[in-house]
Amino acid sequence: MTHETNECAMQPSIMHKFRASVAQPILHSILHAELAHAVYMAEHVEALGTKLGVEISSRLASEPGWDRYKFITNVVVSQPGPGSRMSSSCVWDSNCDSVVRESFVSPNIRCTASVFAIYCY
Amino acid sequence: MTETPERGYNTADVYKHLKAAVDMAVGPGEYQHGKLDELHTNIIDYATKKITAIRPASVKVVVTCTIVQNSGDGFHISNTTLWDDSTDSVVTFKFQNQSMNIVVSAYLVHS
Repeated sequence: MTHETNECAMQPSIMHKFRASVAQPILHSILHAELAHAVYMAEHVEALGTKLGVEISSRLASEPGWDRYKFITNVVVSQPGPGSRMSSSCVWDSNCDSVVRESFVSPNIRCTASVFAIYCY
Repeated sequence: MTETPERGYNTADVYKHLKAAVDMAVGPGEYQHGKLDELHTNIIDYATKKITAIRPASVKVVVTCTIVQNSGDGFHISNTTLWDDSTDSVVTFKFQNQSMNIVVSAYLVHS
């Protein structure tokens, strides 16, 4: 009797599905760790945005079971003053793809991170 | 702007649709927090509809729109993607007028 691994899963198994309930605390902890004492400074904000994006996507990608997911991380960092709003629309497979968002606000800096997780069949 | 016909779509066309979405929605508009919803909806709906029509069925599309008031205060938007560079693309269109900054991005992900 031979067993063959199915390499082309049409959906992740229930245990390996990207879940906001698992991803949200990760985002929360990263934002709080990096930004709790941060102050918006124009010369450093590019590096900060990149650092947050890389850290978030690599942490999520290393979660068990999410190796078939592609991650798009969008980080908006701003001074607390201006009004702003972000919206998105996605054409995907809602059985396996998902988005998670987390914001951090302090008197010195404001940051919103959104992660879109897209399953690769 | 790279031409990527082998992916089934052209990033120049995607850029064109993002630009058209913003131009059509904004006009001579001023930043009004109450009208943001409408602005977002118009931009996103138009861009998504147009981009979805030009891509092959195996490509998933995510369109994001960020609008920030132009108050002189600083802001920064960054994208980090963990994907396959040979099959996936991101196209970004930036717009600025006296009252607002709009950044629209379309991510096309092959699945």
